[in-house]
Amino acid sequence: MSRSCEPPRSGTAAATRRTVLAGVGAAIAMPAVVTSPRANEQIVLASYGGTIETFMRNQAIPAFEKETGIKVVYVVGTALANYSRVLATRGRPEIDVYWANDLSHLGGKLQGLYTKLDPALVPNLQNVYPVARDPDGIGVASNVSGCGLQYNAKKFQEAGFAPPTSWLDLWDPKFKGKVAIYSIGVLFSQDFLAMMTRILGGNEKDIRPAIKKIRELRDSGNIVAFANSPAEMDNIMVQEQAWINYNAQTRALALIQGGSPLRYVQPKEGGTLFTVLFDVVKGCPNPTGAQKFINHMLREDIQTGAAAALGYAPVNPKAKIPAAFEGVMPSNEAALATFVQLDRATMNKELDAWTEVWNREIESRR
Amino acid sequence: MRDRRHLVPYLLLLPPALLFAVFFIWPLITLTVISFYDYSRMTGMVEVFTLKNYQRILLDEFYLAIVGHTLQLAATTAVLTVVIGYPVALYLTVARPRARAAVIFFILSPLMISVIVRSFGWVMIVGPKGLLETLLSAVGLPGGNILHTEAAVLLGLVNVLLPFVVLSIATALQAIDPAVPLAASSLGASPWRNFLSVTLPLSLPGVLSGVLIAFSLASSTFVTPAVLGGSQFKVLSTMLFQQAVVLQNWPFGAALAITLVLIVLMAVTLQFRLVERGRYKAVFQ
Repeated sequence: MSRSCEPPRSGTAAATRRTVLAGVGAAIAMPAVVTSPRANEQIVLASYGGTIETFMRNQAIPAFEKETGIKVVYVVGTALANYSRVLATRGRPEIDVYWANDLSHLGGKLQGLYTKLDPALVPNLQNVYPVARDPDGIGVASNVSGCGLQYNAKKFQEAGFAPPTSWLDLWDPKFKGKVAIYSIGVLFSQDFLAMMTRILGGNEKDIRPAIKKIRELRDSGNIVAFANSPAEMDNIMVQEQAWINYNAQTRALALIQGGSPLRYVQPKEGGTLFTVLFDVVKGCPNPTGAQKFINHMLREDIQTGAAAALGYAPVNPKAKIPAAFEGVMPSNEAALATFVQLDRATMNKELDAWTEVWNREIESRR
Repeated sequence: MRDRRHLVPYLLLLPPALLFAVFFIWPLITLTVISFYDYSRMTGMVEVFTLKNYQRILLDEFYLAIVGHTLQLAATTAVLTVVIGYPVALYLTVARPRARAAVIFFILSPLMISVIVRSFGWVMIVGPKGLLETLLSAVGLPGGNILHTEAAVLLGLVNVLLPFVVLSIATALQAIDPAVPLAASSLGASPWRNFLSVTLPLSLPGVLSGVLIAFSLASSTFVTPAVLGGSQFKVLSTMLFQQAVVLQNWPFGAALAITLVLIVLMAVTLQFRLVERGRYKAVFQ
């Protein structure tokens, strides 16, 4: 990046400007990727940082590179940053395959950003739960995680509280100043809002009753913090600023593994389920390599590895989950069925309106 | 020969001018154009002309309140910074070189740390179980946790903007001919009168540019309100981040950004007016 910012030293003004512009274009388009001349031999994967990056670089990618000879260039970003990048470079895609979430998958699909998967290149499509497959054959869910209640078992015991059983327990007056929830920018909060529409007897088409109910939660003084990211939420819970929240199983399992007194419960109304999905970018340089990579990520051993390392439940029924996660992580179709399938299409369509209402009614100062 | 020498200043200006054009003017034009585009989640950005992004900001109490809050935060920060910074600047003009160097280093130190690290440092001080709460509760006082309040944001902003304001005022103070206040004293002005009638008016150019810098930077800052204010603390910069990055609504995000640019532009114009037309016009020449 800094190279293109250097003041020009020679050449005419016009040529200089062109050079600078080209440099800027390249820098904006893809700062992290240095494309090798043999483009066929590599794929560009946009994915997450943190534990996911560690798992990918240490386990998933080396096995793939060894087997196929295709080099994987790893671009790190959040779900939204990667989606923005795919969207911004749609005219000349440089990312071959990326890990989307429910939102960027549906949003990108509507805008025609992704291609259909070829079952011949992704034979493992047959080996995953039917719910993992996209109805239009565009992309595939690679891993799933439930979302439910997380609470501090130690603090609950000290205070003589019974473990929570229902989403509505968050409203319990005894949790005054002890509840943390996510900011609306985080998927889990959108899911929470959608789940509340169901609990109040409606659905995602009308969020007004749920908004009213969550506003009561805020006005009750139960909410001590709005977390802007899962990492911030982990901090709030670990530092005992809050005792109870809703959170993804992946986060809860990681903390349990680290010896934290936090526990996860599936609420009686059902937990919500979110997925991460692989999408091949339309018009990308190496769609074949990208699909081979997706097939690799659906393999039994890689799925087993992801379950252990990341706390993500597999979509391949043959994959094994660690003994410590049993009872929390869904390991078969019947367990998956206990989760509530949210109306993702409506949620995606209405996201802007939901955000607006939530900003006004809930996430603003009293 | 003469002609060539004539060109030198322009040649010297060329690199920054090019950088400015490519990295500032051009993006700003693009941003302005995008702010008039339409957007829906189903279609993405649609390149048709619409005023709805601006209507949404200007005709809606919720967004107007956010604009108002941004202005108020920036103005309060600017005033606080000047009030705190002026005595420091005064001290700098009379201090010995060694002491002056130490104070300048001290004042500049916040700029040596990245804004993110600095903000999280403040979180540790003003947050739950932070330094402030620990100290206050040690003497039996409540209210040490001020994280996610306006006070925390102001603290963070004043901290980082102080160097700009202090240096700006100190420069103006140093430009004052020492003979002038001396003359006032010899004519019988008390030190207080001397300060109010001579030093303060003569330092106004520095005060005004300090206010302008503090106001502009405070109104557009993102990390400090996001980290110290929390997600319920809404200003233009945090709202436009949500629109552009979380929702991919670039047109509305662009309209919010242009609003922010206009606010700063208005501040610059206002300052310019004061300088050109005000009572102390002579001071600025």
